[in-house]
Amino acid sequence: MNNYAEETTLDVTNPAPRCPVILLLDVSGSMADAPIQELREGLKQFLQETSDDETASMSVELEIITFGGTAEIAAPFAPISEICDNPPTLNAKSTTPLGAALALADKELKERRRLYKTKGISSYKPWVILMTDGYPNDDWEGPAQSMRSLGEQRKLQFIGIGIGPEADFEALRGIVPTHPGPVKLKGLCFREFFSWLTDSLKSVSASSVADQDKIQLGNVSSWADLAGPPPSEQ
Amino acid sequence: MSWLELLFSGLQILTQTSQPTPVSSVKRPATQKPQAPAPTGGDWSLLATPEKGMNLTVYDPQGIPLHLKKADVITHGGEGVIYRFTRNPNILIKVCKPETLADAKKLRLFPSRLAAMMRLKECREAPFLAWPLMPVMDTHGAPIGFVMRKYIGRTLRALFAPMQVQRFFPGWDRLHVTQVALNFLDAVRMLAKHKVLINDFNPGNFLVDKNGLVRLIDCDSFQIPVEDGPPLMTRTYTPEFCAPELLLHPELFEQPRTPEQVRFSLAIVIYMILMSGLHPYARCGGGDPAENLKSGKYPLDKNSGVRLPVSWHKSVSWLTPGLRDCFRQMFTVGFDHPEKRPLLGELRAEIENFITVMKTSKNNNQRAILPTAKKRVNQ
Repeated sequence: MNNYAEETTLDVTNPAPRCPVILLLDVSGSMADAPIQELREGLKQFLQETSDDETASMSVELEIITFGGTAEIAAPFAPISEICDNPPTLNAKSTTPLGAALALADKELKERRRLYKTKGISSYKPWVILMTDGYPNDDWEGPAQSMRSLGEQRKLQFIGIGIGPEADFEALRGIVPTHPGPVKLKGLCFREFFSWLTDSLKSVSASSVADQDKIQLGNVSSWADLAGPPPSEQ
Repeated sequence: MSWLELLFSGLQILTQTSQPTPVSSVKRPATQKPQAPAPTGGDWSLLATPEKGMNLTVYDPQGIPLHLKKADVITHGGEGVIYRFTRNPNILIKVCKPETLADAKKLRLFPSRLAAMMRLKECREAPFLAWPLMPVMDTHGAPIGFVMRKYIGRTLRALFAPMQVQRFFPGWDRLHVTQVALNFLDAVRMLAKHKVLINDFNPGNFLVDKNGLVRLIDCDSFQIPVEDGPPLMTRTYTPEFCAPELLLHPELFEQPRTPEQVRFSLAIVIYMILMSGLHPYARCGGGDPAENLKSGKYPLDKNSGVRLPVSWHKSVSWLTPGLRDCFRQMFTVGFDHPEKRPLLGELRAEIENFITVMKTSKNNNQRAILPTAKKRVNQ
């Protein structure tokens, strides 16, 4: 990471505080066909609508990490409008290396925040959104600890979303903070979720850094399965 | 002409008064109030409360019903819901939220505030204000909202970073954004002339269109004069755009705002427009803008002990000396002495002079949003 600051584009002429957002997207084989197509459409809408908001587009810096066979940075941290102009291609393939993806997200987030500090740029608390439809194929417990801990301390907005009937909610419960815990996506309502995410990030970026915890997030009933994930066995 | 005819007429009769200078005329290319704790730590179900039904019927002053649908809701403000009106694309209808109407004090104040605003003819007719044009009533004839002009544009935040200007207003340079600043100042000055003071200088409350015309929305949050009594106040504000005495002595929020406080707040916004979003008290090392403001340390004051962020020295250097002095007076001497804050006319004269210099200069950096070099003294 020693040259991270030099290698990463950071617009120092933008005086707005930044809100780093990482999308951790499951693109394993089980996401093929309708799920990946809906995810693509939802992501496209998210990129366009958030970029079109003059406040959110100044603050939101996005990174997209995918996990399908390997954990990869599909789009490195950049202003969301730049990713909108050049969006990554998402293709479903192979296994679910969720642990590797969590480790990568943790590393990237730490480096981005370090860069903000170095450059004297204030920032909101980061957002990490994990979306997965299956069981992890690698060790996730160790890699999850750091971000989970930050989430428990409310220093990170860490949202875990299970997609479809095969999502491993036991693992998700161990990854995301206890409150509000994982949530199940209603059907394939990716667009509704991303619309909610856009509105949430608009609210965050319109608030001051000091007041970010006071914002009221919007209604989730359009995308969250209110019956929720199956209850814990414990 | 009846109110309903007016409503369906496209409001042509209300758009005849003087317009601010469009940028295209420039020769060279032209709170939310804190609510419940954040949902983090809560439960998803807390965020899934079904929305209350918002289809409703309101009535114009002649008792003619206007049907508003939930699907026509554009946004929810702190105290009202704004609807588009499908039969006239040029207007919006703002209706008090049920919780606002349930508050006896607010219910009592709303009609008198609305009436006081409606009496200000010049404001009602000003084409750059989303001013109440006509009340709307409930079934008992009590005012519960109003009709206002609809404007299309970007909020001033679209000018608050060089990349943003390029994205939302392709081709604009510093001359264009400075003309926007001047238009904004003229709008605030016109209001001040009628003793209407803006309480909340949140840039999200001001729109700029592709011609550089500035429109003021959220007008019902303004301080409104009353002939034989104290002005009608609201407590809305955004900390980083407040005069320092309000932040340092919050009890002053209970008193009417003053023209001096408006001058200070306006100068912050003007400075940020001219400096591509840099807050006047922003310093090397970052920090919360409101906290920096409260410190009173203005980086362009050599004795402040803080430094301007490195990337901005070039931009500052191309401001005219008179304009820099005006800002210095506002943000240093004027910090502790409101009475010494430059008048709006003085600030306006310096901005006009800056525009003249930009128009006549042959150096591209003079008009650049991001100059490539610092201005030398003899340039």
